[in-house]
Amino acid sequence: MAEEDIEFKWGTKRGVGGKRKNVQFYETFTYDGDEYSLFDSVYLYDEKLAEPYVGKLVKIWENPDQTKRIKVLWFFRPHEISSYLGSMQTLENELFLASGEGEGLANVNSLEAIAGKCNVVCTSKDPRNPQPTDEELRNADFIFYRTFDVGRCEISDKIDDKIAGVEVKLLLNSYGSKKPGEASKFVLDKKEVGVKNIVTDVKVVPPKKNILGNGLTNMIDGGHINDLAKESASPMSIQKSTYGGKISICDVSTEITKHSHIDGRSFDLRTVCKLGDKETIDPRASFDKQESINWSDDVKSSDATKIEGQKEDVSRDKINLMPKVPKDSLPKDIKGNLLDSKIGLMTKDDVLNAENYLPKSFVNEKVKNNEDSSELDNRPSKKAKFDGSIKMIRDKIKDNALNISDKSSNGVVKPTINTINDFGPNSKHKLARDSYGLDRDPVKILKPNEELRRIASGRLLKPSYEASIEDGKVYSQTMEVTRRPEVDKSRWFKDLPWEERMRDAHERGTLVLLQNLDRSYTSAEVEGLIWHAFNEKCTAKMVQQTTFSSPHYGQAFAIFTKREVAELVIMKLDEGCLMLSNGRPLVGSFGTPYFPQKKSTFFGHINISRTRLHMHREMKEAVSTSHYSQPNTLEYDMAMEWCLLQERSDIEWKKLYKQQGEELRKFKSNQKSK
Amino acid sequence: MGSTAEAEYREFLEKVKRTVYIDNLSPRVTESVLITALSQFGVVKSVKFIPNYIESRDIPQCALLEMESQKQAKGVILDINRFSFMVSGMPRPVRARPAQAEMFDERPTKPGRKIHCRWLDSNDPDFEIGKKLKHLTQKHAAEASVLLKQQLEREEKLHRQQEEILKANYKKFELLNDVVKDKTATGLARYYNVKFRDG
Repeated sequence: MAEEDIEFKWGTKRGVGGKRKNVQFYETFTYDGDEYSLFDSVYLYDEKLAEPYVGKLVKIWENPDQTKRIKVLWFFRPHEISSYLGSMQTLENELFLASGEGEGLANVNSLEAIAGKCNVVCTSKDPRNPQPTDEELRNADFIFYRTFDVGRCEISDKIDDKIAGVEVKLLLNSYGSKKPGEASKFVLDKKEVGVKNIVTDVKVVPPKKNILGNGLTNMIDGGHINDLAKESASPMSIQKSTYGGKISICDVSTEITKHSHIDGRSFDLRTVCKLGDKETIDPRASFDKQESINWSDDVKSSDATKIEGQKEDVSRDKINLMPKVPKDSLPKDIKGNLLDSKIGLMTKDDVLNAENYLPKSFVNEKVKNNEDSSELDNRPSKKAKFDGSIKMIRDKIKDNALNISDKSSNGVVKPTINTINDFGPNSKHKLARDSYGLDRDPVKILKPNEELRRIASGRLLKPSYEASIEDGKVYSQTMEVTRRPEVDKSRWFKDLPWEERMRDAHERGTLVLLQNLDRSYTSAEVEGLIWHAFNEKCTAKMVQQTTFSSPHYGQAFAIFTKREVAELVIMKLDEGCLMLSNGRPLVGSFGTPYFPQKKSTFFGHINISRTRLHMHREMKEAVSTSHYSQPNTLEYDMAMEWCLLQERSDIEWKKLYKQQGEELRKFKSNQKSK
Repeated sequence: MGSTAEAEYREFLEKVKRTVYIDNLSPRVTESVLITALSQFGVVKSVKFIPNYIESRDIPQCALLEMESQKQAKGVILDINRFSFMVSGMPRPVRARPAQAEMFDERPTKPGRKIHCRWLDSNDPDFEIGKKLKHLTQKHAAEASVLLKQQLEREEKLHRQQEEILKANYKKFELLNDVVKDKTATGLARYYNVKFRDG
C-alpha cells in the first residue's frame, strides 16, 4: 500500500511498552484526514471481500521499526455467523461484538488497513451502556447489542466485563465522540436517554410547557400510586398502563426539578433525570419492568416524601377534574390522563376506589380555574369528611403536599388538596354509588345492580364502569378495562369445545370477529373490554398467532348471547369509534370462521402409489418416518426447493408487514391524542 | 392475589421459552407422530396444535411443542432448521421457531396491565382518523390474505412440479427394474458379452 501518500500524524501518546520499552502506544492519530481515537469503530478493507470488515480499535502502537500497528476487536456480520444464529432474528444493520476467547476475537493489523471510520452504536440495555439518542441511532452505520462468543460459538445479549482484555465500558457507547472533560455529563446523558427511551417506547408526548396545570395533573399514577399501593400493602396489580406510566415519568420528574430549585422549571429531560436520580428514582429499573418508575424504598428522605405528597395531592385534584372535564375545553393530554388517574385509584384498595368523586359543580369550578388562570388555588376542603380507614401516610402526605404547594408559588400551579379526604363516613358501597351518580352527566342513572358490584376477583367493582355507560355510550370517557364480572350464567357452554361453540354461534349469528386488538391481549381481557364498552357479556377467544399472523393486529372471536346484541355491537363499532389504548379503533364484523376439513393431501408431501412403493425401499421408509434428509438424494434437492420457497415467503411477509406498519404509523401520527 | 398472578405469569413466560413452534406440518400429523419424531431431541412435555379458524383456506398445520428445558428447545430449533427435517412425508421439511406468547391459547393476563377504551365523539378530530384506521385494518387483513393465497398457490405449483419430476424418476426406475426382471438385461448382456449381475 502506498501509505506514504496518505496524510498521517500521531496524536496523543499513551505510554511505552515492549521488551525494551521501545514500543510507543498512542491514543489518537490522524489518518487520511480523519482523526481516530482508541475504541473507535473502523472499516477494514480486504480486497477479497465485497463488504469491509468492521472492528474496534483496542490498541494502537508504533514498533521500533516505524511500522504502525492496530489491534482490532472484531464485529461479526450476521451472515458470518448465520449457522449459529438459527432462527434468531437480526436487524438489517446489526453487528455482533466478538467476545470470549479464541480465534476471531481480535487481530493485529497494520494501521494502513483502516478503510475509514464506521459509526457503530451500542443499543444494549446493559446499564453500563450509555443509551444512544435517537439522532445517534439515525446516524449509525451499524448497531450492536449482542455478542458472539468465539470460543463457545454462542450468541448472547449479555456483555462480559472484559473483552480481549479491555474494560467493557470502553467498548460500549463511548463519550469519546462528545467533548472531552464531560464525564459528568456522560453520566447524565445516560440517565437521560434511559428515560427518554421509555418515553418514546410508548409514544407519549412530552409534557407541554405551556400548560403547567396540565403537567401537574398528569402525574397521577406514576410512582406515586405505586407507592401508595405498596404502602397499603395491597398486593394487587399496581402497575399502571404503559401509557399512563410513561407520562408520569416526565411529569414526576418535572415536579422534582421544580422543587429542587435546579434549573427552574426546565423540562429538559436531562436535568429531570439528574434530579430524578437524586430523588431515588431509579431509571434503570424502568427498563426491566413495564412500569416506568420505581420509587425505590418508598422515598425515605423528607424531600422525596414531600414530592410524593405533592403527587398524591395532584392526583387527587385531577381525579376530581376528571369526570366532568368537558371534552373540548381542556388540552388533550389531560383527557388522555383521566384514565390514568382512574387506574391509579382503582388499582388500589377498595377505599381508594370508592372515594373521590366530586359533585359536579365543584368540579366545573375547578376546571374553570384551571383554564382561566392556569392556577389552582389552595382552598380548604369543602367536604372534609375523613374516613378513618385511611392510613396515616395519607395524612402525612397531605401535609407535605400543602407544604409543597406553598413553596412552589412562583408561577407554578398549585395543586389543591381539597379533595383528599373527600369521602364520607358512610360505607364504601354507598359512597361509590353516590359518587357515581354525581360524576356523570345525569341523563340516565343506571342503577348499580348487585351484579355489577361483584367482580371476578372479589373486589368491588368500580363505579366508573357504570358511569361510562350512558345509553350504551359515553363519548370521550375513558374506561379502564378490568375483568368482566363473573356473573355469566351461560356457563353451560363451558364444557363444549370452542370449535363447537363457534360453529353454533356462527349459525345463530352471534359470532363476532374483532380486529385491531393489541395482539398481547388475552381472551379474558377482550371479554372485559366488551363488557366495559357495551355492557354486554360475551365469551371471547383471541386468535392464536402463527407465522403468518400480522405483528400489528390481534384478532378475537367473540360469542354474544343474542343475535341482536351481536348486530348492535357490530353496528356501534362501525358507526362509532371505540378507541383502545395506543390509538387503536376496534373493528368488528360477523365472524365466519373456517373449519378445516380433514383432508389428507398436503402440498409438499408426495405420495407414490402403493404399487410402486415396494420398489423403492428407501422412499417407503421416508414416507412413514421422520428423518433428516441426506444431501445426496433427490429428496434433499426437493427439500431445498421448499426451503427456498419458504425463505421467499418469509421475505414477502416481512416486507408486507413492514409496509403495513409504516402505513399505520403514518396514520397514527395524525392522531391528536395518543 | 397479585403475587400468585405474577408467579403464574412468570411461569408462563418460562413455558414460552421452552416451547418450540413447528409449522409446515401435514394435516395427517398427529400428536403421537410429533412426539415420536421430536423425542430424539429431548423430552417432549406437551404438544398443542394451533387451530386455524381465521384463514379461509387450508394452511399447513402448526403446533406448539413444549420441551423439558429451554436448552432442549433451542437445540430442536437449531437442528431442525440446519438440516431439513421431515415428519411423516417428504420432501417438504418442517420448520421450527421459538414460540411466542401470542401463539398460546390460554395464557395468563400480564399482571398489572391495564386496557382502556373510550368512545370517540363524531366531532372528535380523531374520529376520522379512527375511521381510516379501521379501514386500514381491514385492508391490511385483505392484503395478508391475498399474499397467503399467492403463496399457497406457489406451494401447490411446486408440489405439482416435484410430483412430475418424481414420477419421471420412477418411470426410469421402473423401466430398469422391468428390464432386469424379465431377463432382458441378462439377455442383452450375453449378447454383448458383458457381465451383468443383479443387485
